[in-house]
Amino acid sequence: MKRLAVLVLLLPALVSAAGISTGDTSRRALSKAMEELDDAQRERFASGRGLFDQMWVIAPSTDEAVDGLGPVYNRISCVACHPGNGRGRAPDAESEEMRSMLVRLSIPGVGEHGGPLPHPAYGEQLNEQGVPGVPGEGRIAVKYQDIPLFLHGGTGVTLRKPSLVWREAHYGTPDGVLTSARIGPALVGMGLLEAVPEAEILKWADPDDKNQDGISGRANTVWDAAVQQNALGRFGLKANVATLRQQIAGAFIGDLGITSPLFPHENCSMAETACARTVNGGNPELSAVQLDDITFYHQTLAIPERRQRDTAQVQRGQQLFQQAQCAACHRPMLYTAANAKPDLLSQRIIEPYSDLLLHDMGEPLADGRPDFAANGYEWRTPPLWGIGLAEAVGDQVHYLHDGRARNLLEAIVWHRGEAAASQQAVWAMTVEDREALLAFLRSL
Amino acid sequence: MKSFAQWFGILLLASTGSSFAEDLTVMTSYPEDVVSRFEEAFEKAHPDIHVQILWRMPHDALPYLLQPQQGGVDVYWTPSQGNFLALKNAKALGPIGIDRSGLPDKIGTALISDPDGLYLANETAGYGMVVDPDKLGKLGVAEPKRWQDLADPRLQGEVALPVPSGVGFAPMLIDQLLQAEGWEKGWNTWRAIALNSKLIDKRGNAITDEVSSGRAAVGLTMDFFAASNVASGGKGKFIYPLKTAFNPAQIGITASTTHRPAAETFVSFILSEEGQSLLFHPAIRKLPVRPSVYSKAPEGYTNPFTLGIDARYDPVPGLARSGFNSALFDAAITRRQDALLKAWASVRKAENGASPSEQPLLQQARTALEALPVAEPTADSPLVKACEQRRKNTSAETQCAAAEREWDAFFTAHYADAQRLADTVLAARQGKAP
Repeated sequence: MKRLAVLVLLLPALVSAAGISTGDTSRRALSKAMEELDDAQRERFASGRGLFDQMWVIAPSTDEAVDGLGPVYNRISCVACHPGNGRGRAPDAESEEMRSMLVRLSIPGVGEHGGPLPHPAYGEQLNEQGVPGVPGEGRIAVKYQDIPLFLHGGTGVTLRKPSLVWREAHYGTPDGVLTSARIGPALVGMGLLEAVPEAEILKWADPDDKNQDGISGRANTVWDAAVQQNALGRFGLKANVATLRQQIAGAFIGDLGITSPLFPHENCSMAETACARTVNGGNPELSAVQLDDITFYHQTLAIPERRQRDTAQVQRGQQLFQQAQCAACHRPMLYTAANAKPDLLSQRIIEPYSDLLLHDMGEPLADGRPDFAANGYEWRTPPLWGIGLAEAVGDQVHYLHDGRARNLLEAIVWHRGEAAASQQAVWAMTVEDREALLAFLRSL
Repeated sequence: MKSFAQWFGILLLASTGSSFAEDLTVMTSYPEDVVSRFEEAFEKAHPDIHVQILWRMPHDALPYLLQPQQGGVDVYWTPSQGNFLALKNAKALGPIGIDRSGLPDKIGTALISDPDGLYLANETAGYGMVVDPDKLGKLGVAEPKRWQDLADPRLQGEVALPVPSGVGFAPMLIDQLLQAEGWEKGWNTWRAIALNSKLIDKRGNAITDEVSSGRAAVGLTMDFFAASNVASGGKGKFIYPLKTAFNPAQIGITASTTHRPAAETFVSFILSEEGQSLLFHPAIRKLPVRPSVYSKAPEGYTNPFTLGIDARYDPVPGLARSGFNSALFDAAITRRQDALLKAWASVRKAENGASPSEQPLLQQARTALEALPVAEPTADSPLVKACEQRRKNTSAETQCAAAEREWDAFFTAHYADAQRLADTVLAARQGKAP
């Protein structure tokens, strides 16, 4: 609270998240509109929600506004990977399909504008599905090796270490490919994260660990396709996307095969000739208005209010979170800029529990796949707001970038690299303290 | 990278270029909440069959499925009785050789599956009202029991009414009342309800949102929208009126499938105890057609086999005239709700304390407000067929649009007449010229 007091003194115009947050704790807790929306904004929100829930259609179709799925794709709707705007999950067994998970691909080297170098036959993402007449690209399964551990106090945890296995490869052997599996992340608060001033994020960066706390934090510099220049990356698991609009357009082309004003070309590689011959759903398939509406939807989803903030256990957990230095990366409090759009996002104090920076998370979590300035060990600190509602929103949820963790404790135990000291602190806690820490996380 | 690879075991090239599962193409219009849960459960039970979902709304699906070889689709699974009838007539559906024991053909007197077995019901859903009891209480209105109760003037602006030309489930909602009350009386009830209504022309769940968010006290909707909203933590209570309709959804196998055993496995799964129980999920909440599974239903779940309400409805004429009804609704209500509302307000004001000499004019005004440009059509009427085909061919569109223009002129003139008559009475009462 001390930091909040300082912020409020320094920036007296800031206001809390009242009016843009929700106390809903139901299955739909992450799907509510911000209360402050006016009628016209609610219409726009509903339109964006419709596109998010839309099951996209293969072209040609009489429903021209929603056709253009594929030719290769992963799932047919956004909501398939982000159920209720919450988290996806990893397959639990090698025989299971990836339903809300995908695999990024690249080959060693640097691609256009400094990003990953796409695989010549498979592109930047494995698209398992193809429209009729176009083969899907193949299938990668996940195998697990169980690692049983005992934390201080006797708490048993069994981590599952994933390996990716190519099961089918329809466009040639994918030799030398770099892979990175990702589950769909929760989607609340994206507009507010975009509204955090760049200077505020950079101020927190400590790439050379000058304060010698063992935690650095680097900003990613990425290509902004809209303005055709480099920009600070703040979205995506490696902070590899500059803007929310581009993040959404990227998901449309990467996951659904839907072109947009930002990515107007179908995702067919040179090897995918049937893909290139397929009828499209317009040029682009997602109009600028549709892209703006779905961006607005994500900007204005209400953020969940903290729960049980005043209970002794949660307060103890919050202290432990600070003591274990979790807050050095999972930064509790940020503020948004005065000129943020839409207006209702401006000058807010927010509690995302992220610094939006890259951190080396150590070998166990590394994917070995660079992405702009992020190396194969680095990940952007994922925001924790709403994480305590994950199980209320989804039937079965997993944690960490590839869903290997089945609960929050497993997720903590996987932390290494810059987070090793925090992980060790949690490891060494009494059972009661660890429960308090988890209660605090569930209150977010 | 050596140590990285040791820790992670990054990528094993187990095998390439081979396919392990038989592909089964299923066309549906169900939303993700339904599709993903069935898909996942089916693939767990039958990992040897990979389901590919092709998604199309019913109007878009029918031309696709009428292509040669049904466009490669093996199974059609959707709430669209009209499409199943059309596909059966076009001989685009094949036999379903599965065990049908425990699956009745009817709910009450309503047939839900094809008598020839070419398509089978897989779930059903009923029409009714989602209400906010607290808001009704504040308005001093009892919970409605009949559709007609929604015409209560105290519900002004508090009813969310789906527009049949814009909301997929609404044509049958509109038609069930026309069948239950008769053509003219039914249309007058809809116009009376429309006086209190906000018209909703978006997805079905927008209706429950209106009530759940407090923007409306009542919404006309289907049971599963309300039930899944409540099961997911939303606000509202669903009420079946004394007379309503249930709309079955069906599943069929295409005539041209080359994966018939896999298709039959899929249909069997959807209709199995396991598949039918998935309908109880809080995000779905549709009504199973296998009566035995209701013993496992969540508390308070509706069982249409034991509900005992009057749900007589003949979908065949209703489906045939849904485009016609929608066009008439748009002319009478969607495009003229303001004029209708204003005219009725003036008539009611004039009726308040009206003298015997004023009654004839006011009766004329009422007659104008309740007039209809067309009598109940028969299913084979050329205009009914044209309105049903309007999305598919230009001449049908021209014919139906021409009728709509005539209806527009009719309602404009009649609502204006009613307004003028009421204004005349009011002006005369105040000693002014109208």
